Amino acid sequence: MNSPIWNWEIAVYLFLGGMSAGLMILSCIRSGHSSPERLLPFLSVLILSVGMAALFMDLAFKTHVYRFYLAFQWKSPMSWGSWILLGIYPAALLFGLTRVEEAEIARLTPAPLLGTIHSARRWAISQERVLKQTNLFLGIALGVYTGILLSSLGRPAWNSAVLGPLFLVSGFSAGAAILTLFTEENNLHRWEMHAISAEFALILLYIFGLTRIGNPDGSTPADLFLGGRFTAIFWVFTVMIGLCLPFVLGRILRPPVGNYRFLGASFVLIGSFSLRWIIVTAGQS
Amino acid sequence: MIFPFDSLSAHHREFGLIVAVIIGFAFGFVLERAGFGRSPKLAAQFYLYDMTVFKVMFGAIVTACLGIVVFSQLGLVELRTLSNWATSETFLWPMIVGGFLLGIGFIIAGYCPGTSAVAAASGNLDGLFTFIGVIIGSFIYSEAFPLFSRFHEASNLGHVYLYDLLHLPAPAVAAAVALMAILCFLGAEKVEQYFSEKLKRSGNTEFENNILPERHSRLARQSTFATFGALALIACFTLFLTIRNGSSRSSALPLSQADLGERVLKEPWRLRIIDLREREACLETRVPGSECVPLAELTTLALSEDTSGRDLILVGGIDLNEVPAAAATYPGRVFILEKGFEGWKSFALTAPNHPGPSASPDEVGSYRIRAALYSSLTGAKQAPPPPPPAATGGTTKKKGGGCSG
Amino acid sequence: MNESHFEKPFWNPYLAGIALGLVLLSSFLIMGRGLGASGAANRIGVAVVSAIAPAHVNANPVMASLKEDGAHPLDDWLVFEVLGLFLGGAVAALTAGRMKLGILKGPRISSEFRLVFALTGGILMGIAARLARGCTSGQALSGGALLSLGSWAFMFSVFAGGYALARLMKKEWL
Repeated sequence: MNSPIWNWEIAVYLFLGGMSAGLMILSCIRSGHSSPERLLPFLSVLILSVGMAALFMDLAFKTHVYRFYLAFQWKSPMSWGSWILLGIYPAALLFGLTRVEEAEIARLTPAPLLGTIHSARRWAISQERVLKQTNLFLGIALGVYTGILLSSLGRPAWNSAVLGPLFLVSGFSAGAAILTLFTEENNLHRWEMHAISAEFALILLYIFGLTRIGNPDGSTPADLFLGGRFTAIFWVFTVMIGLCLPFVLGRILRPPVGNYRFLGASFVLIGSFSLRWIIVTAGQS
Repeated sequence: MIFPFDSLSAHHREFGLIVAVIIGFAFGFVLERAGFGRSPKLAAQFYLYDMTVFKVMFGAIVTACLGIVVFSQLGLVELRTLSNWATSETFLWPMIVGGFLLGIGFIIAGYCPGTSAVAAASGNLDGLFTFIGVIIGSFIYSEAFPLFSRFHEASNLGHVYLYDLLHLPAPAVAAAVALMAILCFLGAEKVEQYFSEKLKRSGNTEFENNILPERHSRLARQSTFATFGALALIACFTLFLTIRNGSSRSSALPLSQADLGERVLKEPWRLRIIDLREREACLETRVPGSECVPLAELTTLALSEDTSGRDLILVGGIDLNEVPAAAATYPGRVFILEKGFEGWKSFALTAPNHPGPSASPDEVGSYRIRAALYSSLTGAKQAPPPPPPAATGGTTKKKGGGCSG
Repeated sequence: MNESHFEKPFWNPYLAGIALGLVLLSSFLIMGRGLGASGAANRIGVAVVSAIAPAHVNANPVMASLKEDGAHPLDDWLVFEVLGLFLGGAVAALTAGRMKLGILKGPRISSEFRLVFALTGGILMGIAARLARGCTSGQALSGGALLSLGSWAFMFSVFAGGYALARLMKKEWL
């Protein structure tokens, strides 16, 4: 067994990146009238930055980050990813500006920048449709990228095309879970339930896919999750806590009442993080 | 034995862990719904106006006890094997003192360790603090272990069960416990009523509204008693069945030479080895620690009354075909040594061949045991020493019962 | 959020007892082991200390025995069972409308004292459970159902200890 090269930092990065992608998508498909929802674009940028900080902690040569941008490789998801990340900042921030009032900006920004931001906001409002579509596209791209990043690395347990959509859906439900902490709305709850069902289907598909890959010794990478040493934590944390419990509770307690929102959201977040952490660790064993 | 599924703790251990979460989930769910997530309700047990703790706990013990006894009478589980696996040995004084201390902690904290977890899970901070306290207490014990270690290991009686103590068959004891429970429940209802009346008269209005238990329907109580009674009857009835069938319950298991050799070296105190060959042959050479009792004299040992919990191992000249009637009533497990003493001679009393440098760890291990046996039994030059036993006497047992450890 | 309108009553204690007995019975039948709680608390403690000061754990043979062969102290049946216990308790409280952040206590004691008592009692029970090889779940309940002599002695002593101190602790509860 190789000692893992990628530790918890990568899992945190993939988790927060996915969550940020989910929040970006949510910011586009929801009206954005209520006060927490208006701030979604900013929240997603904030979360993404925390995730990148975790990634940065993991890089061996921290000063070499710029090289990602100097040598673009068509076939490397890492290259693609770094450009997606770079594009998200202006797109999300401009989109966020369309949803705040002029007076609010005036209160929060230092005077010298005020003029620039006001003109940026005016431009953003005129381009709102385009910005919305850009954000949606970048959100989906970021979510898929967090999964494709792994599948490009050639480890048996990561050798699955399902990882991209799986991480996208899981990131979406993590984002929705964060949002349920602040708002109470049935519509959001419905989205969450759909995301959980889709994620469950994708997980089954992922494991089924792994059973079709043979290692030289006749085992398959799926054994890691079907009797191997990741079986218990995967089925308990990711599937039972992350999917089954929130789903069943969400069905029983309709409409979702008070404390469910907190508990259900924590369950989803635990599941969503454990999915990345377990797959990152299992892939390297 | 069909149950339990051994594989869940061996090579399918990971699935066993998933089962653990499911069982724990049910455990926590029931505890919460019984009201065990609330300290005032638990503490009320000690002020006698709400005996829920007693009723739930005793009811659960009776249910599980009758259930397991009936299952074992049906031949689906081996009661003693299961019990030895699932419970810790009896360390009488540490358990009495520990119990007393735990009772004191219980009334101070308002929870026991398991219920504090349930309370914490339902948002009660006092439960969370109690659970953290349990963690700290366990840590303190580990730190101060040298101070306690002698008392910790004191008065070890081995695996002793109430049916051993009373010299009664287990189903009879279980049925007696069930009947006792019903009587206690009836008493508990009276006590509960008396003390809650008293509390009401004391004029503390807080209680009537908040703490006093709701009166439950008689129907549930009566049907519970009826169920216990019926199960107790079934248990007693199965007892008559097995008595009529004679002593069919001890079926002997085969034991290989290698296993016997290993156990003779590592844990001789868990074995009772009886050599059934002629006395002269036996006195000349035998398996270490064995008693020389020819087959005809076996009844004089009164094996059915040996409650030490050791495994009985029968050694014949060659393979024994069946378990002698006198040994079949032995309360513990009975083994027959494969190929008898002839097999032992060729296994333990002939020098083993060195397995060579490319041998697997298993082969090296079995070589070590054979070499150690050979040298210790024949006085030949000391071979490489066998691996040391895992730890001192009391702790070698596979961690059993619930909270042990 | 006001949800007191749908707080469900507790189960009838006899039926709850039978339900608990059936859970215990299935644990015996499926896994060949009983229920427990304090053993997991012990392992959690060792895991925490081992994360902070691994050398300290390795120097203490009692704690080091929980991570033999490089096993993680939390990789254990009981720990998973107690994880389930937390989940089950949370779900039961939530679906009964009893999930509420708060401190439960008698009417005559302050919250701070209640928490101090909770912690103190917990520490005592942690020590006691190690000495007795189990707590009310692992020793009294599981061992009691299998008619183990030590478990019954333990159980009677738990009640004796509780009743002995009950008068002194009256202020905390009544």
